[in-house]
Amino acid sequence: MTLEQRIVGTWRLESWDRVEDDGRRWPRFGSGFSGLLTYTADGFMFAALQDGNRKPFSGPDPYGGTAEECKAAMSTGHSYCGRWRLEGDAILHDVELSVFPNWVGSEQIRYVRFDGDRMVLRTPPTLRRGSTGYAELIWRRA
Amino acid sequence: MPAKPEQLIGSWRLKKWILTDGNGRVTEPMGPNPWGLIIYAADGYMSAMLAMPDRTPFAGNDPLGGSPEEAHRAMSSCHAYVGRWRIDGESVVHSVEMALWPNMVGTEQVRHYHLDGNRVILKTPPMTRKGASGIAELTWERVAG
Repeated sequence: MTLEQRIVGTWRLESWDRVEDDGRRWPRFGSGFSGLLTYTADGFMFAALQDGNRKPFSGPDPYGGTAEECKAAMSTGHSYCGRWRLEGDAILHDVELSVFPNWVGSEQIRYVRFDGDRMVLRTPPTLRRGSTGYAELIWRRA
Repeated sequence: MPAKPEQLIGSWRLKKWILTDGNGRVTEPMGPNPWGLIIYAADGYMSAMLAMPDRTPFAGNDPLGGSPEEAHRAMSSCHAYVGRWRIDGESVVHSVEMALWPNMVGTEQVRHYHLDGNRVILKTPPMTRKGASGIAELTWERVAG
């Protein structure tokens, strides 16, 4: 089975850790956090990540929330989609659509490895609160 | 004729989105050039995202960290949800597991479908979108694999 074939399908988030360069590691979100990630054979990907226990909007229109409702929803959830391709051990996500406008047109790189039936995705190094590290997301097949 | 599930499997781009209100008036809630992608995966999962083009970036680079005003602008122009899908007669049913809009989580979204060559039209029950209420019709075109 090729690496591409192992990746195609839908994955459920098992853990999301922040790992600092000095080895410290902790869960980035609480236990209610969930995620689904789909890679299709025709070259598209879709990621959705969100916290549990989010508060419903008072109105019936998804585009009609108040600023406070939208802030609460946006700070507890994220989605993006686009095309994907492999380059060595890196999955490149060419983002076409994203809830977060800044990612539209960007390329999100995730280094992939498999640990048994788990797919492990690691982000490039990022600076967070003055410390360099990366995020490591572990997925199991949905 | 009910579709075979494999007729929907794949990735589709949004071409047109109209909403018809109770008086027969037709509007385009997301403008004439809406962006959208819907994926019907072979493993039974679906994902959908809809957005207006030319949305304003946030000042910061944290996807979860915008101001209330930035979040308001982002959510007034974008919508996303994922879950499982199945065919039920002339409808495709989306069982929503996660959604940007919290109200949609746990709901079943029923869409009447009409397949026409490489396009599919999904028709909604009455709903409110961008302040307009009525039946929405979304035309999607299959992306050549």
